[in-house]
Amino acid sequence: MRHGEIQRFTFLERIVHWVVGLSFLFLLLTGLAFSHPRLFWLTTLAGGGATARILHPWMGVAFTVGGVAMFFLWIRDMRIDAADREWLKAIRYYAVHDKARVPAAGKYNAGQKMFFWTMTALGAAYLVSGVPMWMPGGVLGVGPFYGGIVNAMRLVHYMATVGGGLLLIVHVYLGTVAYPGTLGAMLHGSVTRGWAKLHHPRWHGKESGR
Amino acid sequence: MASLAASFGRGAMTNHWKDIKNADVVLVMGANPAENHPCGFKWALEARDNRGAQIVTVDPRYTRTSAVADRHLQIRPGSDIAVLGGWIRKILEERLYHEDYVRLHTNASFIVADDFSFEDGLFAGFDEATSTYDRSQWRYEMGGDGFVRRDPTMENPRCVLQLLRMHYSRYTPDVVASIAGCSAADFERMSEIVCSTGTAERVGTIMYAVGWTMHTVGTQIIRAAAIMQLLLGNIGRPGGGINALRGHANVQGATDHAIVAGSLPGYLTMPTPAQASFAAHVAAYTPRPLVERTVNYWTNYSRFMVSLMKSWFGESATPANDYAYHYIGKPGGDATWLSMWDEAHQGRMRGFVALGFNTLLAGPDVKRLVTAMSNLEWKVVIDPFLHEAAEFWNAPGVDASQVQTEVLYLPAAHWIERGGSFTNSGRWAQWKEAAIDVPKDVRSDTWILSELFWRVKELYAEEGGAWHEPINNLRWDYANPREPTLEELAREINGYDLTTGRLLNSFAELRDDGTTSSGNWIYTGSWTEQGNMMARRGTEDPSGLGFHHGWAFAWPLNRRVLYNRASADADGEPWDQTRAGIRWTGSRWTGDVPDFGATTPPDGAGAFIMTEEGVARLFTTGLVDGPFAEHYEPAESPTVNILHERVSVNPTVRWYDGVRESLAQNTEDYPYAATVYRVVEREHFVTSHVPLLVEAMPDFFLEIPEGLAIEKGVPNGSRVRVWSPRGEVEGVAIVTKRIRPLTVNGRTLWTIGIPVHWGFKGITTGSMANSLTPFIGDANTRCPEFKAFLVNMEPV
Amino acid sequence: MAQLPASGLAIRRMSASSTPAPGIRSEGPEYAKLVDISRCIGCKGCEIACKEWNELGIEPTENFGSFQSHRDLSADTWLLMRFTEVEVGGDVAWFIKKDACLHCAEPGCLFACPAPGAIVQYENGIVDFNQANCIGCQLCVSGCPFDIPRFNPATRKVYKCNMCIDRVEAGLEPACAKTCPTNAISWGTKEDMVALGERKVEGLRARGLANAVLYDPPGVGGTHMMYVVPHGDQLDQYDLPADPTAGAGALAMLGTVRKLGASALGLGLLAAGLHYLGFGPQVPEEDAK
Repeated sequence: MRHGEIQRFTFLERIVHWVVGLSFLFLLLTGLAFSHPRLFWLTTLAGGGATARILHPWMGVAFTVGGVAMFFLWIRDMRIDAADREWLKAIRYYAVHDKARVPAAGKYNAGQKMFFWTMTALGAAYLVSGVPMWMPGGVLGVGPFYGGIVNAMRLVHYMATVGGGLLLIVHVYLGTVAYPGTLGAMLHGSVTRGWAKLHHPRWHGKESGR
Repeated sequence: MASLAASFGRGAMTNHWKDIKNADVVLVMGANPAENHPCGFKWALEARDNRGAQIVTVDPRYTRTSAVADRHLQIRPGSDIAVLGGWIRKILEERLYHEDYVRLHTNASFIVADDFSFEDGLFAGFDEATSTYDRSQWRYEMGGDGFVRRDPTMENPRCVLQLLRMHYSRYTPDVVASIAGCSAADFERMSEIVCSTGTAERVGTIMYAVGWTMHTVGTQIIRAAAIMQLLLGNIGRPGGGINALRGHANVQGATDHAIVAGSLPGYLTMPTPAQASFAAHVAAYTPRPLVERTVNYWTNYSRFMVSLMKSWFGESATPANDYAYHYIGKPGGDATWLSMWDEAHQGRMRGFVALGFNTLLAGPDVKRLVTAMSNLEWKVVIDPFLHEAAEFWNAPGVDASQVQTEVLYLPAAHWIERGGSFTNSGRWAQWKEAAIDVPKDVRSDTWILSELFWRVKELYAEEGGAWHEPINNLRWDYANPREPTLEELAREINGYDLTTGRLLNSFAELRDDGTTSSGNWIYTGSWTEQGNMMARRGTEDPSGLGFHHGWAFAWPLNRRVLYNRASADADGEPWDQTRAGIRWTGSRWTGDVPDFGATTPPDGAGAFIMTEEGVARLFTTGLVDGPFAEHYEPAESPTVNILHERVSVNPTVRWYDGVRESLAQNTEDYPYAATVYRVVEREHFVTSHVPLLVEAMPDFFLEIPEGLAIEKGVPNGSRVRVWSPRGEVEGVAIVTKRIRPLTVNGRTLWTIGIPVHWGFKGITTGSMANSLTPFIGDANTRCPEFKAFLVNMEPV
Repeated sequence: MAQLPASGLAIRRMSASSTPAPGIRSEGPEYAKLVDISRCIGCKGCEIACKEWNELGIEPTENFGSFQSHRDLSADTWLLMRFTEVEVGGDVAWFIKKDACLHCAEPGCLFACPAPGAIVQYENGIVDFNQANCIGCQLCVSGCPFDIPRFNPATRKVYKCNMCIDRVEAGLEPACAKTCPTNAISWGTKEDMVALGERKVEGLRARGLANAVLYDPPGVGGTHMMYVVPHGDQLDQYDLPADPTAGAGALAMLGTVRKLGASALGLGLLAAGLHYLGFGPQVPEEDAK
């Protein structure tokens, strides 16, 4: 935490975030490599196709474990309330940086909460559709999944990937270049007061004791 | 084989493998060629696909052959003569026989003397005390001219055809069905196909194997088939015949070269003690002609025999010493498989040499065989594998400490490591090359036998001894006398003109004055001055019938279809122009190599040159158990013989000591019929040592009919125990729809199938099927009755 | 067998390949194997020849209540004779089928494969797995409408019949066809084999097998192993799908969805970029002071 700043994420939260985030990035890139021949070269980053195929499901395990931890860490803050519904109504002003017309957000704005819940749903989809592809011969007495099940799961897995990929673009864009100062929250854990006031005024107020 | 000789004059497959493609009906019975002769079986499929031939199977099981056949009839093991008899009856009653053929080429018109009869299961001349027939009571009536009386109209009630009709009149469809266990309707449906070839335009063939020979009535089953094929006019014709399928690549060759007890090479006969002189021996096997015009080729017996003795003893065989006739043993007893091991069982045999033969697994009643082998002082096993017979004391249930027999094992080269020739079922001797090298420290059979010869000879030189002449005077003039080459032996078998040293072209050149030699007269012509005829690989086939005279060598004289004179009518015209065996041009015969004088006119002699009748025999004196085939029950049977209860089993079988007691005494304790067989993935017992073949068919199994499995609570793939009074086996149950219940003599009967390939050596081990089989055999050949016995079964 | 021209290895299709197939010329005919079930006696000669020629491993087997050697195909058993007992019109029949890769013209395995060049289809019709490029994902197994490829967990690669491509390349027939003792397996050009198959079917129909068919399913563009099936009304008993299709169902949707997905992700990136250009970063005013 930097001097004069407000603590936004604990050490544990930051660890969990990066476990989930980096594994997701790996999964996304290798997954896209498996799905799009033009991107197969990406597997080279993971040690080649065969290694990528071996690592992908294990990385999925890391993603799942991190995701579950994250879920329980943050769920208390992710309840969507009346204020969030107001916020959502004004999302088009949010998109064009017209903060004056956006209702004041708490620690997480409604968009972040939606991101949380969507990623939770996608995470479940990755898990359910991923396991049959990981172990098509069957696991724990269930299976085999060869044929129609694997093919259907492959479709589900891919569609979830596209959804996750789009969310990631938004997430990374907003968290880095669009809102300077955000990344620091996930690196050293704190944000400036100005940042807090701008993006999360109600939370800023609470943290400032007002 | 005995019965084919008795019927036609030679004991061999009448036609050949490729000829089966010329058939209109292929009856597969007592054989499972898809399983055991897959390469040859393709010709049956060729007939089916190219000629529209029908392939039908008659078997206790629906087999892999049945899987590609047009129709299948399930019968009880051991009921074959009933079924064949039913067909003979139908052919005669409905006049489905080829009348011109029967009149011309069989002894149907011959009159049989009055002393012949058949009553209550016994033919005339039966002697209760010795269980033998006085065969002189089955003779023809002779005319004043010294020849048999004949009735060309075949109406005379004492002519063979009418006696045949009378004999088989009892074999009605209902009787057949009751014996065989099938329905009369199913039998009739099969009959329509099988009995459909009694015309000039149609030809049917039979493929049979040890499913027929391995019975107490094995020879007579084949006789019944011979009678049927003669009535239908199917012998001697392309696409016809009775095709004896041999179980190994060279069984025919081994048989030709005297592997059968009582035989010398080329089906010459082993002398008996009564034949004191060479002249007496020759006279015994030189038949007198029974009709005016007959080639009666066995009148040449002395030429073949003298040439054989010259081949064996060379300069030492002279007219003065009866061609060394006294060098040859003259056994009093019979040296068949069963009789041999009975001798050992009774402690009357000291030693045994088994060459290329798993003597423990290949015989019936393993327990009895172990006892017999344990009675030996020594046993020599010459084989590529250290198999069960070489370690019989290690058999399950044997206390090795009680076995004193000394066993010597000599590792021998496998045939795949050796060149030489194979003679296939169709009598084609085909030269082959070694495929792989002989392993280190392994020797060829020829080296081993040669060494044996030299060491015995050296022992005689050192120690002297009785009866040394056969060894000391044996001709042994090979380039390397310690290991003759197969080429040398092949030339020796072919034979030489001893005056000029020229290799002979034909056994017609053999003489009985000591100027020729031949190790086996029927192979003369196989290696001539032109070279190794067996190595020929010409594929030309101008007739399109598959004769292939330029391919290898077929005995005799490169003839492809035996008795081919019978493929033509009285004028020498083929019965069927599209399937001409041979044809008379007015001056000579063309087509196949004629089984007849090349320039003898059609009426110059009878078509069957090896018989003294000149024709084929529907009625024969050649077999010990009857001139016509009669149904007798297997020694171990689920029913009495419904034709004649008092004579249920073949009355002339030999009952060895203690065998009667070793049979099932009732059907309560042993309610199921059983039969043994082989599977295509395995070759007898050798392939237990071949990983890929073991992988293809890993474990000993038992085929259990589905209905019985349900009744006894046997799930597919579970283990079952099957036992007979002689032993038991245990294995995986293959529960199958392919074996159905039979109704035999009013009772439901189930059949259990048992494969033979397992023992206690090899990659996978398993129960020995022959633990179950009875120690009894055919009346003529003593071939054991492996194929029909009784068992009980329970889930393990 | 008549000498066939040696087959070139011009490539028609390659798995997971975004560029045109590298083969630019067809050097010889399209081949096919014809299995006449009505002539097959189930001797397993082909099964063993396959193992010998391709030097596949010995697999210890056990009898499980059948004449069939193995329960299933495996990475070391590319060809399996399947035995099924059925009733046909009150009579028993024994269906014996040579189970191995059918070498589809439209190979579902190849379409399903994500690894470039792991599955290759040659102009001669052979569909071959190149284990060097295989990533072990096993999606080909699910892509195959006939359930043929098999995964080896030890090598993490998938294997199947390669039609003895090394023999075919040299102008020889596959080992199974070479060894078949009853000529139940024929080998020749696809054209000739279709004609032969049709003749055989006619023959079977003339012999009373009215339902005999030539199995060359159009849903996969036809196959390079075809069957003459005596009882064409009971394809299920031969374990043959009645109407197999390559890349059907979810796989077919996947193709479309992938195009949409790629577009969506691309547009997403583009949108982020444009947004930045349009609105720039939003910097807290207080901190900027």
